[in-house]
Amino acid sequence: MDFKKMIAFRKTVCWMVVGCGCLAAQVQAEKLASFWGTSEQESPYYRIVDVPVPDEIVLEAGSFDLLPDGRLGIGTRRGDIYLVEGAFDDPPNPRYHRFASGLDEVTSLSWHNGSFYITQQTEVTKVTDLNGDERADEFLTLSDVWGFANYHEFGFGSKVDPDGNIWVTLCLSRSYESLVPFRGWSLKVSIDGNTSPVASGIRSPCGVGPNAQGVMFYAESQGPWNGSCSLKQLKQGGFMGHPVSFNWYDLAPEMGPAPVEPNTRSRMEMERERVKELVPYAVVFPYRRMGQQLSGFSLDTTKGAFGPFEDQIFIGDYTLSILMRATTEEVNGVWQGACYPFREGFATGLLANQFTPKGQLIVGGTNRGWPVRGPKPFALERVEWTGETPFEIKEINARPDGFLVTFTKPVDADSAGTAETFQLESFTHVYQQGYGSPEVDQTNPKVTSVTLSSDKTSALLSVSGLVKGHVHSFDLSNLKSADGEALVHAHAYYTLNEIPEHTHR
Amino acid sequence: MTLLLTRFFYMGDGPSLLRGSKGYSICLGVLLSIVSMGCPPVYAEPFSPGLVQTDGLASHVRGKVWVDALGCVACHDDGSLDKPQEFGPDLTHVGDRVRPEWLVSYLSDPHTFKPGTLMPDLVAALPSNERTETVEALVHFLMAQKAADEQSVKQTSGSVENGQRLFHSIGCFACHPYGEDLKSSGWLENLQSKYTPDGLVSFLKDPLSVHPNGIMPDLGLSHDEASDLASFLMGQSSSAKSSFQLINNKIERGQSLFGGLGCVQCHSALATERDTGNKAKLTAPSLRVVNPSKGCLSHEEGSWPDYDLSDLQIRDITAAFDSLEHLSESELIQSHLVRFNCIACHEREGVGGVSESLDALFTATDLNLGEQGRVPPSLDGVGAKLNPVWLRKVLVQGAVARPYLNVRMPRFGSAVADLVVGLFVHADVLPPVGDIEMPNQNDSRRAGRDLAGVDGMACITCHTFKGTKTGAMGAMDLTLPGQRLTRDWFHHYMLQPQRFRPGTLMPDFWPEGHSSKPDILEGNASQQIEALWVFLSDGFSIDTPKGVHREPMRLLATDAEAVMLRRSYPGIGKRGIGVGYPKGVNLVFNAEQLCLAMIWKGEFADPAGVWLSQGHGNVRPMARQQIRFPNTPQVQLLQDALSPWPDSGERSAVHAFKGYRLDSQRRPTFLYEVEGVLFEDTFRDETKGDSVWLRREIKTNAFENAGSYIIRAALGEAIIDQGDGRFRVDKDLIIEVPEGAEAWVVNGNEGQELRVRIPDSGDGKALNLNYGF
Repeated sequence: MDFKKMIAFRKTVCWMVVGCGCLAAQVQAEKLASFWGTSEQESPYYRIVDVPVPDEIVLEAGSFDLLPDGRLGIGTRRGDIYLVEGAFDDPPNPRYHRFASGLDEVTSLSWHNGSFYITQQTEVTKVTDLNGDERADEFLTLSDVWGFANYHEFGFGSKVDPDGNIWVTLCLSRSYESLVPFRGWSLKVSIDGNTSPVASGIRSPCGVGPNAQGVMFYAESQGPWNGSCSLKQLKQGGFMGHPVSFNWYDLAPEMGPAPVEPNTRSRMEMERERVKELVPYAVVFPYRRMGQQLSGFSLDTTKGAFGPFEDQIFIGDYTLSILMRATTEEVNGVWQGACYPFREGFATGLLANQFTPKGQLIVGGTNRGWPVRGPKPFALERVEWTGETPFEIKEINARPDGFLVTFTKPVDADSAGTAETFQLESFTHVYQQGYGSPEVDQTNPKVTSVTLSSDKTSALLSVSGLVKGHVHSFDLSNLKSADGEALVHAHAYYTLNEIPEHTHR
Repeated sequence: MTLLLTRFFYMGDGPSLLRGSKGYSICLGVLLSIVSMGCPPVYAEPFSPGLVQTDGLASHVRGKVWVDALGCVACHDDGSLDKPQEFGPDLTHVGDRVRPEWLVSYLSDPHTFKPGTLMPDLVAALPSNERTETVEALVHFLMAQKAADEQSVKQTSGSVENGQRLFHSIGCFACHPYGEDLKSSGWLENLQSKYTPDGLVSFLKDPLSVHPNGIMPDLGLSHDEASDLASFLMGQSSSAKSSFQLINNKIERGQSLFGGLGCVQCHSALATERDTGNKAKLTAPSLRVVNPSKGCLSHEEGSWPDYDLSDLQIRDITAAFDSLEHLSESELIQSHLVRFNCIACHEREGVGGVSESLDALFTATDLNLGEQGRVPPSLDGVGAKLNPVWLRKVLVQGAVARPYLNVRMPRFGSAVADLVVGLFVHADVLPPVGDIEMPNQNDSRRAGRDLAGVDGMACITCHTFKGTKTGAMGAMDLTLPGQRLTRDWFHHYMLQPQRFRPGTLMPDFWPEGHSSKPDILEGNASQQIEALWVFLSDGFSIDTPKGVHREPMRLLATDAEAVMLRRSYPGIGKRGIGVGYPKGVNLVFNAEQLCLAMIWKGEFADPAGVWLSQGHGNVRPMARQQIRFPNTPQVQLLQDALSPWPDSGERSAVHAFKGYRLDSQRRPTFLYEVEGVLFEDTFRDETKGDSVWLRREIKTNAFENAGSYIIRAALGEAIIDQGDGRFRVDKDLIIEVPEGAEAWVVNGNEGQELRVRIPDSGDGKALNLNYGF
């Protein structure tokens, strides 16, 4: 099913037209297609390599980090930390060594000054091997000030940031309530064990990490007060949208009084005006089209070893076993940006990823507990750039009267020079207490003119009908590269919280 | 329609009845104020709840709803139209449940006394003295319709609070808009003056016996639920006995009027069997030739019933007369869905669905299931989705497939099933799947079972299996698809779940028709789906797929090293740290409450509850009995060693967990602070004589003596000082205290406590305790 059909379908109630073509589809021997149906187009540029795991190890990877000696650290849901040699070899030749065990689910792992700083569900811990026998023997609790008593109270942390802090995001109790302190909050824990509040209003987080400018973001899930999954900025003093956690402001006097309660069945764009602390979704990932359960993410700092997406965020999806890209930019003091399909067909539900010194991307996770498309109970895989540059939308940036769309390769001046090649739709979600939201308030902004850069790798679009606060979805199915190729992924989604007042960059 | 809507939404934005009422969550208060915006309605003209929110419904379809609801065919019967068996309530036992005083008021002026009623005024045209006499006789006749000798007027013993909760969760609200108070709801007005308490309870338990036409469906209330609901709806009803006495000649006169006035056209009564000759030979004209300027559709008074119709209703009904035989199948279905107000909960072809004002009242028992676990499904294509046997089972027998919805699908009875099942099945069609070449039946079934299991598509991760949740999600039971669904729908749905259930949490396991399990049936999508179908078709006799029964796991210490697991332990909570020692003693340290919480001997633990599924369970100690200690800090700084043990609340403000270190055998020394002073608390397995003891050493480097650091080593029913430094705690535990240590048995609030002072040592304070068990 292509995107057009899907969109069309969402808009129609009539289902009787369901064709039976799929049923008749013969089972093909070729590579497994998956969600976007673009696996075959992706594979010439990015290949997925299985990193084998010995039978006796259950490796439900929840977090990764690199050691200075080139080993890969893996924190697991079962509560182990493994050190792996040879995971980046070609072909992979991994040797696993269990460094620590008995922990709660290790959702983040960060090597810093000879110790691991980990976030496990119950606390942030400094894990050290004191006697040099390659096994951890000291586990110092840096912070456990939050309540941990109910179902679904997952916690996720960042790696240690340049200021020596770990940013922790705490899922709501049962994912709907805040029954014990700081559920639904983000806290900052320093490597010295000082804890300070960052923001309230979190629902069900997963990954936490910085963008290229070092600003901290987290992945939020669709649900109450979240029309779709999104990346959100963890803004100091901010409110991330779900008001059930307001009850803990008394415990965090430095945060000031609790914000004004947002109105339900409203729009984020309207409530931002009323609730000054409310931080809008920076990058909305339209539900299903761009995942159902965002998870861990990493920044491509491989300086080109992973292809043309330097400094971009690579984020996984647990349910659909796919990888996506995201870019962010600050406009009028607010973070926003776009997301783009990247690679599909992973073997299990993705929880975390990590760039390697060789410029590969290690991904891993598990399919236990929730619905997942990937068939394996757990897997470790490696995404490698083949060296061939795919024809992709590299990045979309907002401009005062439209967008700047940059491509990985020069485009064909004929197709790119035509305004109709750039098909836009806009929509937003209902900001509400109820679960999720349909896409609403659809409009059709029109591209009125296209100005190509002299090297034909970017197109400046003038758009009539930009809608502040809306997701702008791009369909460039008719665009061709200078070599006549179609885009590997013709769609991208830009969340236009703010329209720039003047051109920057 | 616009008129109706305006009137419906006009009034009642006042405060909710329940605002501030005790025992109710704020949440419900909010919900109710939402609801109160949409009500109460005040109608003179007949009211049908299904016609409140049907924008875009054609005039003649609305008219058809009225023709059915008002029972036009009961009199205007030329035999050309389908005629339902029942129109109004069955009055066979009305004398047992309804109070005579209410009947007098109602029959005298139905439209004023019960605004919105569907019953016409049959006495409107009579002179007033004759009218009084007529009503009195009718009431005598009706009160004679009973089984019991005397009306019971004793109060119901139900809980008003439960009743209120039921009313606002199981679905009553869908048809009975309820606002500021019950009095302002046209439909629930004066219930305490209408019904005897027992009468309302019986009615709520079995409304179909009074309304066999299904207009008040059966929500499957238990006796207690019906009592609770009745108590809520009636408030304090009068328990005074009525002075009403039956008079025989009035009963006889009433009986004759019951037939003569035409009541019998719509109502059954004991003494007046409609089919045995007492039925009036009404000569009402065929609906095809009615004259709108005279009779029921006119505003004139006359010998016809007075329905007090609005102009819009008259227009709709007139429009319906012209097209009664030409309604499309879709329009006919629509008219039934509107009449029975199915559309308050279900959407079909763009009509109906949960309205904004009621949305918050649709709640879920299992939040994990998202919107599908809260809101009833669309009826689009339901005739192609459900097999007719199941459809009938739902409507007639009240079969339930979605126990996680708090709103209940009511039982409408066979009359409604007769009306709609065939229509649905005929109207809804799917492209047939056709034959699929399969291995033999047993191999197919086995392949289906493999696909449903954890190594296949893992259906059991989310779906309940024979009532048991395997994981955290309680999606629809796997024994149901085979009973409910058609094979065609199942095949189409499996390939594209989102297409049929937009927003479903179920991923598509065969994207683009490709299987992610190439090893089963060679990855052939159609064959795999068919195999699942064959497997699921076994219904309750379905074989158990792999992963339903969680296989126990064993996490054990080795001879050389201890084993640890930080997770939730039963009775301890999620900050437990379990340790199994090589010599076969085990403990759980509570890292939130800073205490030794549990010890046992034997093997360590089964981690399946936390290592499988979402991990929301417990680690299960592998011993039938464990010795437990109170989950509250064990070391306190006290001025008086014998003062009451401090209550640290949910979490002590003066204690903090600081982590642990492991020795060469991976045995922990726990670190924690008590009022800012760091303690090290070490537990070792140690052989003493021929048994293994747990040796605990607790120490600090602090010298300050702001008070005494006291450890409450045990709490039991009886602690006996055996005199040799050993204290017996109840029957299974001995705690050995070093010679010279100060120890007390204290009678505390919860039992006897063993307290020991942590004495000074060379480099701070230290205490050694041995636990034998």
